Amino acid sequence: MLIEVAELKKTYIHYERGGSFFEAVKSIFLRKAMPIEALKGISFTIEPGELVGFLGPNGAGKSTTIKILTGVLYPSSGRVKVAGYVPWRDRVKYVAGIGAVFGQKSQLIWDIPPVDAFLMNKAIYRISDKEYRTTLNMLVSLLEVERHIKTPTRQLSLGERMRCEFIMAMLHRPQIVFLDEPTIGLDVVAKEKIRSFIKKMNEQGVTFILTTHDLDDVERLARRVILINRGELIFDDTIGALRGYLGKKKFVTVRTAKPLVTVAFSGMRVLNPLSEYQMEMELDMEAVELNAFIRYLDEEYGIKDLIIEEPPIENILKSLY
Amino acid sequence: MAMGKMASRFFNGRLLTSVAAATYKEWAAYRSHILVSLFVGPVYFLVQYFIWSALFHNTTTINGFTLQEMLVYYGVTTLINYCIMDFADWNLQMLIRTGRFITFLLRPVSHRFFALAQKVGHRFLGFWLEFIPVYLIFLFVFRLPLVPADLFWSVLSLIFGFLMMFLVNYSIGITGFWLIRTDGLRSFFLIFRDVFAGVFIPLVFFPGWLQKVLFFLPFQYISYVPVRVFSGNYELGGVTLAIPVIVAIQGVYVFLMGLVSEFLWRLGIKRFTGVGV
Amino acid sequence: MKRVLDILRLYSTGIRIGLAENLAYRGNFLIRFFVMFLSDLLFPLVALLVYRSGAAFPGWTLEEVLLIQGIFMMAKGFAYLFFFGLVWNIGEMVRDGLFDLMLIKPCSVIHLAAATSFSLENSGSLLGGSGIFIYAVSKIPKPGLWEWAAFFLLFLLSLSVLFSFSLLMSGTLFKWVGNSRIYEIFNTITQFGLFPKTIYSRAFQNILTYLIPIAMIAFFPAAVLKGDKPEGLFLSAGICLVFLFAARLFWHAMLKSYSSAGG
Repeated sequence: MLIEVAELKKTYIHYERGGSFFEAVKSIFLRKAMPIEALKGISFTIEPGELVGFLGPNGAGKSTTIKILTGVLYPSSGRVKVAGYVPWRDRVKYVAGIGAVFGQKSQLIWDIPPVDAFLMNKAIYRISDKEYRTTLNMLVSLLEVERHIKTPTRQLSLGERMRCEFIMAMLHRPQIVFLDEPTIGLDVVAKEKIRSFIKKMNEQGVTFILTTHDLDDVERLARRVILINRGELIFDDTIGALRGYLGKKKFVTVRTAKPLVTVAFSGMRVLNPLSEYQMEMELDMEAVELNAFIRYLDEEYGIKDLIIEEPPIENILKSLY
Repeated sequence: MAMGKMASRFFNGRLLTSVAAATYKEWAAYRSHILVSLFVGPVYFLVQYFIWSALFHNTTTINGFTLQEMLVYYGVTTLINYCIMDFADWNLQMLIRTGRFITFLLRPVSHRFFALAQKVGHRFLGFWLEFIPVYLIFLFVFRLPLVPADLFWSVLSLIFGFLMMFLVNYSIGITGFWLIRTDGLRSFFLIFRDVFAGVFIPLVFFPGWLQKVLFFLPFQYISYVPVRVFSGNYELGGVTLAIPVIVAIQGVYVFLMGLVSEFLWRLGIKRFTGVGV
Repeated sequence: MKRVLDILRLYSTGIRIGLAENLAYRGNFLIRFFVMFLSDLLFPLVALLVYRSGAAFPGWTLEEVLLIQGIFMMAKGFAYLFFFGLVWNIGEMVRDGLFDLMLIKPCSVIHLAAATSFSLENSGSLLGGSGIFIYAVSKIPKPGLWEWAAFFLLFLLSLSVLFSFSLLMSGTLFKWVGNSRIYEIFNTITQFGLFPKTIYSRAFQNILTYLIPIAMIAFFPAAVLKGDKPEGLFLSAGICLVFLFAARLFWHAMLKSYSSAGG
């Protein structure tokens, strides 16, 4: 077991601050404390080589969990063990073996080329010259940034910069890498490059913990999903299981020759009437015979186009949050 | 009509009050930062008190100042600074550098007036969070006789100092149109401004020729002149002037500095729009 | 030993990167260098103007006052160049929510923050201070070997006092987020160290010697160099170490409170 989290709790103390001058002065001496429970006792384990997606709405407790796992934050109670360390207690030793990429917090240095900034991490992680050269070459060719690492960071596009952020975070060959919104703001091509890099590194045995709001990231990368909401763990299983979580459902888009105004079928729910002739609906596969449903549609309205697919993950999440 | 419209670009009473009020509220959130002045001001003065008490140990006047007058000079300099300080230079160059400046070009009001209105709001906050408490500390703890020789001329000179500080800083900020990084140039100017405004030592301590040069530079009109007007006697470069005369000269200089900033502004804008956004 | 080498490597990389950053904006860098140099001459300039007007601190010649101020600026210049940057580095990172990035690095946050804030322009301060120091030393009676030895020892203590201040300030910035006025507080408090201790009242002299050892920044090293045996020197030297210890405790307590509040 690589990561073990048990009964993890975190309560923040928030202080109320008044608006007026006197309240501001008073608040220096007397403050009203308000406890906020960010994590209410969550437990999970992660095996080496997994690629786990962390999902949850804003303020759910995701980043609190990640901060505790990276040794940045002390929990209020609970046990955490990662690669044999207690992250916050053995911080310096522990973080030598992990890496992190934050989509919105750059580790590169704005005015100088990435390749110079890499030297800082080389010194921080005490990487030998030889190891540094091999790892750098490997990462640079995987991410296709041979030219970019020599250009001042401020002149790079966001996609190029993110790829360099990955090099910065992985030069010391961490066995666990935390990713926070690694594809935020990127175009489709750039996202794809980052994703295929993550996949390749994962195949080489690196464990990834991915927090994101980009469900494409999760669907393409993660085999396992952990859902956190209001400080509690509400789901922990595979993507497939998440899909089946609300029962067996299909998502149908249909276009017909006759207006669909009167359409009705037991086990079918209208989600979104796009126009008179076009509609999105949800089928409960436990109650609906698919053949019968299609026959009904075609005979009554005349099918011109029909798409049947897995329900989008957003719909599942919306019903869970 | 056209004239009226023109003028409203440069002065607009309603805009002044609404921008000032908004700035006041915005900065009120940083009260704890502003309250640092209640420590810094008196402690800085305390050091001056020890320095000058020691320097006056065997003499009653230095360069025409008695100990009491010297302490009043430093006390009033500190207080006046609370009324007139701003960072228009920093703000303007930041807007230019980040490109946020473009939104001001789309508004039917000059940015200079907008920035001045911001300063009014910011200094209103400074007036009662810094000026009044520190004034009371000087008055009751250090027993400084802080009564202006003539209230009318003191206030007028203070208003001119307020405008002068703003125009000088704003002109420094305009250099942002030419330079990517202005922090070096700005701190260079700020040192000059403060030294030659008499913040560190009364200007009469400088060599005679320098005092004559300083008379013609804008800096003395920021702080040195209002401080001397407060005390009721003005002297620089061996010249003694009546209070109404030096305040009138100060007013002329504010007007001239306004023209300089307008000129720099037009040059800068030309460059800004010439480069393209 | 290996640990020391690692830290040295960290600093040398930090210095190389700092230099590269400086060179990205050469013009601005040169002006800033010059400004640091000039702003350091400010207090000596005021001292010069005052002494030229005929006034003097009782018992202190202009050169002796310049000696204090030169040492003060050298110490500050040295501190600015090599470790004081940790204050704004930590302050900025906490303000922008980037401080976590420092905590996920396997080394001491203090060393990392200091090493990554190197900026050569601060050598302007060191240069200005050294210039005044050399001028002042040439004007006082020639110090002997013992005086020099004692001076170097006290100069190290002077740096330790400034280091303690940098810990107190950066520690405060964990809580008092984004307050750049902390520098003003620092400058105001240490201002007492720019002048002969003897001009202050007895109570203040005691505070500057035994409570917040600001007299150690420049007054004691200067006094020793000009051959005095100032009272309270040994006790004050001990206080400097206590001050450093207390500042470290404070800093770690503030870091811990940051780590449990989550910034």
